Amino acid sequence: MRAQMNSLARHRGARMAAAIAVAGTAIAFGVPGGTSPGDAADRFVAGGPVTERSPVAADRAASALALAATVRSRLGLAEPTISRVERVVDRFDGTAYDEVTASDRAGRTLHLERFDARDRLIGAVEFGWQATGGTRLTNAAAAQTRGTRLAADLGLDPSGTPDVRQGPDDTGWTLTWARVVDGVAVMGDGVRVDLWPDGRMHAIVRTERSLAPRPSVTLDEATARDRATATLATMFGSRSGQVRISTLGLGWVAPNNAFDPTGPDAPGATLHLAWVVEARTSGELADGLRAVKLFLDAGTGTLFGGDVLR
Amino acid sequence: MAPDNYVHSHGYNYLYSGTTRDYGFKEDAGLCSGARTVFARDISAVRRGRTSNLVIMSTCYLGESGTTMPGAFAIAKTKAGWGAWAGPSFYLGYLGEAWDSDEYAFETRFWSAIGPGYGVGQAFDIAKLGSFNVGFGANWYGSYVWTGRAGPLPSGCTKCL
Repeated sequence: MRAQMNSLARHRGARMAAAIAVAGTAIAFGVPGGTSPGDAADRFVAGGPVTERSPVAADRAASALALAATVRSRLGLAEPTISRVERVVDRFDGTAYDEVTASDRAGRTLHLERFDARDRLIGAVEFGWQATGGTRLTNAAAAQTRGTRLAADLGLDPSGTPDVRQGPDDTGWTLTWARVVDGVAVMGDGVRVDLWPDGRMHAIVRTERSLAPRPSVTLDEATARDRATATLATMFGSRSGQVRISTLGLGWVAPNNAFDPTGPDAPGATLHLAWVVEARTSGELADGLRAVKLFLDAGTGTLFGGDVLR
Repeated sequence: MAPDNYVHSHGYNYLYSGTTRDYGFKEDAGLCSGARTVFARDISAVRRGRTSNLVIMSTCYLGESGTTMPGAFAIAKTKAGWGAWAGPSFYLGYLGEAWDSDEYAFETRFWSAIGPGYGVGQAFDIAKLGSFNVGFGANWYGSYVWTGRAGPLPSGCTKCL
């Protein structure tokens, strides 16, 4: 399995780049201003472990167990026979947390909870598949009410109106509160709550990554659009007529290797302010590629990542 | 263990013929356009009911509730949780439009989680505990408790971990 994953992950970046008909002209990639050398240290390398686990000191373990007991009580989760506490370093996200894993008498893992250095709940999941249960939530409004209350009870501090989606095959609901800082979206950050069909918690994630300082000067929208148009022309060459900018706005994003296979295998741990440009394809190009996303440094316009939608 | 079938490509519910649609993906032959569509029904016709253990469709749309792709690999569109068993099989796909970065992050965590104590279903749940674009969603069919080890197992096993 590991060998297969090595291959998959290692080649992913190359495939992302290869999916786009890159013209002969080279595209300038850059490291955003403010990126610390430590950002790249000890980061995930394709084929290597995502997490590193180690025991925690007794006092820290006791604290984590107490926190987990509180969460368990509020969520109505099963009492474990065995609880294990580990310090986990997540090399993919560049984060670290204490994880409490609860098991039953048979050794089956029932649920887990994760806590950050400030003792905040940052993740939880109840394992298993539970299509049945109590009375089902009847609609999105009911799911929103339930999820909002649950998030507040757990101190997740959700703000704003969540994105609410019903799962496939009537399998529950997902609510997402995106993180916004000074009016700018922090892409991928926020609070997500997955509910079983009857409104009980299935999973919770709170993501709040660090932000680099804002650039002293931010490119205006027109300049950013010009930079994006030029970058797309370089990427797509003679087929750039089949690519059209659909959205453009400021966002906090993690630098990545979407268009630079030689870059790190995991996104940067510190997010940078960027002009996030989404361009949709048409014609023959759309047969294999729906859209691309460019991350242009908000201060310099340099491309430092993006995304591909096949 | 290795995935029986892994596809990373453009997926959709394409027009098959006339007004008939079917789920499929674009063949990746290094072509950026004009690539052939591989339909679920074409795969079914070739495999003729031969079951796959693990199928990962790293594409858009092939995890939708209407997807026909699991059946192409003789994986029933059921979710067998604890105490249930749908055979040594697991199908993973994504909902709607899924960006590469989300698929990559999800699959990286999924593979990393499979191992002692965690089967494919638990690995799926752990993979969800990541940072994704709003609207990203994954779906699965098969046996939650399956270890992920390839090969046949006796049917009716309800305690396989």
